[in-house]
Amino acid sequence: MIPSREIFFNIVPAGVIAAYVLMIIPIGLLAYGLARRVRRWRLGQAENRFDQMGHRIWNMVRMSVLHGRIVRTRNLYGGIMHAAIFTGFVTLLIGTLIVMVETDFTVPLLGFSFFHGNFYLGFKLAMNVGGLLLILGTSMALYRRLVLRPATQQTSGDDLLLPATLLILAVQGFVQQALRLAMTQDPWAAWSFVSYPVALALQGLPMDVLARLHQLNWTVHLVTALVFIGYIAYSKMIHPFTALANVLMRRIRPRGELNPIPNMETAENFGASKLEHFSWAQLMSVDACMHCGRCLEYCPTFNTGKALRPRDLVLEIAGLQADRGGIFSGVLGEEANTGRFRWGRGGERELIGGAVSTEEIWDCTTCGACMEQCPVFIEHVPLIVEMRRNLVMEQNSFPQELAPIFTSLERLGNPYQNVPAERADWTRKLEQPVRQMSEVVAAGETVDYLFFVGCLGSFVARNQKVTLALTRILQNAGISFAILGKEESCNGDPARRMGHEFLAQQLAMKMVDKMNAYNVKKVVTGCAHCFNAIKNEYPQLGGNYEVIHHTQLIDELIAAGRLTLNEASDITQEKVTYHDPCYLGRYNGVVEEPRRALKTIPIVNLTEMPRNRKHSFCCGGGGGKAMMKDQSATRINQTRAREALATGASVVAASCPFCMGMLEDGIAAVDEKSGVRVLDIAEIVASSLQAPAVTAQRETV
Amino acid sequence: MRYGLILLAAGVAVLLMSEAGEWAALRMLAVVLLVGGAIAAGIAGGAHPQSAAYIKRVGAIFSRNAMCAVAILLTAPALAVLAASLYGALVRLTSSNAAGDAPLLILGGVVALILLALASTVVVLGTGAIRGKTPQQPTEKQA
Repeated sequence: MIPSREIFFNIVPAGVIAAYVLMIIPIGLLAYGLARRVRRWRLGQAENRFDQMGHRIWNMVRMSVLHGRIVRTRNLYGGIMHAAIFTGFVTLLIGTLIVMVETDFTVPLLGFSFFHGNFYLGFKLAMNVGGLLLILGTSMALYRRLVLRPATQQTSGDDLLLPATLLILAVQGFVQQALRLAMTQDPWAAWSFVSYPVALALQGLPMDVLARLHQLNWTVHLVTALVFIGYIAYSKMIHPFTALANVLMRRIRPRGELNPIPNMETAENFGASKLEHFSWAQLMSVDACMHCGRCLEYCPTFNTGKALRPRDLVLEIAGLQADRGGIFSGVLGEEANTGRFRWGRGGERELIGGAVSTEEIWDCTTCGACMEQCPVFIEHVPLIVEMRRNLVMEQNSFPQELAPIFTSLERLGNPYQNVPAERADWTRKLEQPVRQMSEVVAAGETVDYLFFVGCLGSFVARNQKVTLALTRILQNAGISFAILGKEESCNGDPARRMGHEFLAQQLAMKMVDKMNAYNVKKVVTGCAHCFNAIKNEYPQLGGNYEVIHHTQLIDELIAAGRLTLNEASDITQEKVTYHDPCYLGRYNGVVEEPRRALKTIPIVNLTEMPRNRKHSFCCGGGGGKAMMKDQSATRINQTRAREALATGASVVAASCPFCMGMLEDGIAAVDEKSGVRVLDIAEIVASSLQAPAVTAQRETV
Repeated sequence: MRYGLILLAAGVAVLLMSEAGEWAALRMLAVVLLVGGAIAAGIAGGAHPQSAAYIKRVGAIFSRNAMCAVAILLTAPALAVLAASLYGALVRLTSSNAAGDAPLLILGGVVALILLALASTVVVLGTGAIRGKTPQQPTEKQA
């Protein structure tokens, strides 16, 4: 006897016909919901996301289907939960399709049956495992929503209805199988290891009762499945479509690169004040959000109680889009999805001021923690910058403290109202002079590196010390370099992140022209923001250079034996903790080089803060926030300072002048008497430097 | 929309033919026509300017209480079977002729109990969610 079973066992033909006819309703509703969404996305601006399709598809498979982005060591519970639901659901879906192929295709059309023997036994086993996984995953989801209740999750009706429906579907499936096994005395019943014991317990019931219950349960299982399919497009269950589409179509440029406004002179609008001003891909991305709240885990504004919560911002835009598209309806549609950020509030609202508040827009430090965490690659920062662009460039509406910053950047090329002629004044404190690019070129010579000092390193006394330390390191290692001196200006990063794209492009273009004129090939920066802008954004303007951050260069020099470090220095025996700047670590993946550089100093005892590397916590100074007021009760820099102080370190190592300033202020505010110092890695290394025995000034690394 | 409806009508006709005349080979064609028709109609409906208003009107028919009743009706058979299974396991375990099956019956009872407990819980939660009741988050306090 070959193991198999009758498909549509105990189901009357009318039931089969009804099943096929009824399925057109939910499939139609699903197609309708998807079509409405796609129509909304198509109203967005054009953007090419169809390049490198092979890479995109592989990335989608790796990150989403194989859960590379979902199961992460710092979020194992959520990752395992999703993997269980996904695996269970997909297994059961494939199982249903296999039955359909057998009964509707291979047997009637090809006269070939495969649903028997070992395949059938494996199928039974797989279906039971799939059902168990689905029950496990949905139970974990409900447990998290109802019992664990992490601070990053806000539960709507939708968040409960979906796992509840999936769990009921799985239970109905097991019950259906148990009833059939009880009726048929299936000799291979034990392969259905979940249903079989239940079937044994049911065997006392009369056969006609079992048959009636089997038919009834089959009917309600079918109707539940159809209701579920119909609900997909109107709930977060749409994410298998939208999230996969978003991962497939995600921006594959460096994450630290913002898209420029093309053809600024002829552009009809700047930034986004309407949904249609976002690109189609951005409009699609907000529909991919499934409220998991991972974007909040390391978000500095959420963690300090500010108005901006990246998840809510995305859902506010998604809600407005849904209202405009008239996608949701009825009591269930509205009630299940109404939260403080959701739809049902009217499509007539304005984007800025209606759906999204200006406070949210200006709260963002652009640290990218939300984007780093988002399992479906939603890019929150570009959405915010688009709205900032509109506020600044069209509505002339921005925090008042930014007005003098913009004016200073425009007139003087730095945000601090310093005279450009004073840019190289710090070099007077050096024993060994530093050459300027103009002198080098005039002499018909070349240098290996342009040292892009940056505004803080040039003008602010505290940061000048770092610049001097770095210069001593370069000189000590015999690096051939020069600076732009008074020809240097702001790289444009703060203006760009604050939404003044016109000013940002003006400043960046000036630098690109100058650096190209001097035939610069390699750039070393002392600032994470300069590093990110020149490395990732200058190529947009024709500035293509090999850009290296000073911590990377120091690490290389130490590894190459170009720097010899003393056993003792002024930080002897001190415990040091390192703060990763967002624009260095998170955006550009430079996390190990600074640590290696610190560890090579023999007496440094490096200790880590709980949030480190790509999971670092922002200092609060990015996105122009270092120049804006933070008047909330809990300041971001103080939160980070507390974390640093809790390590017991007496030195906080930094590698970005903005972080340095924010952390110094934070430590002073939290515990002025702690005596904890904030030092740049260049200062720590420079304090340990031995004088070079033989320094070859023109050597290259 | 017209093409979608034509495909749907054709699909229903082919399905009836396949079942009535026992031409099972036609069933796959019926499935293709029905699914294709549903998708075509759905997409065409999505493009219709008034469709959102129509859908809203249809959606408004369903009250919360009606949706709750539907949810309970859909889950009741499974709950009843699980309860019967639990009862059946107990009855057979207490009878004299269950000695050989006892471990499996105990397992069956445990599985039925777990599934019953889970399903009952989600029915309560689901109907609560339909009625607009969601658990109060403590606060979205800082992590």
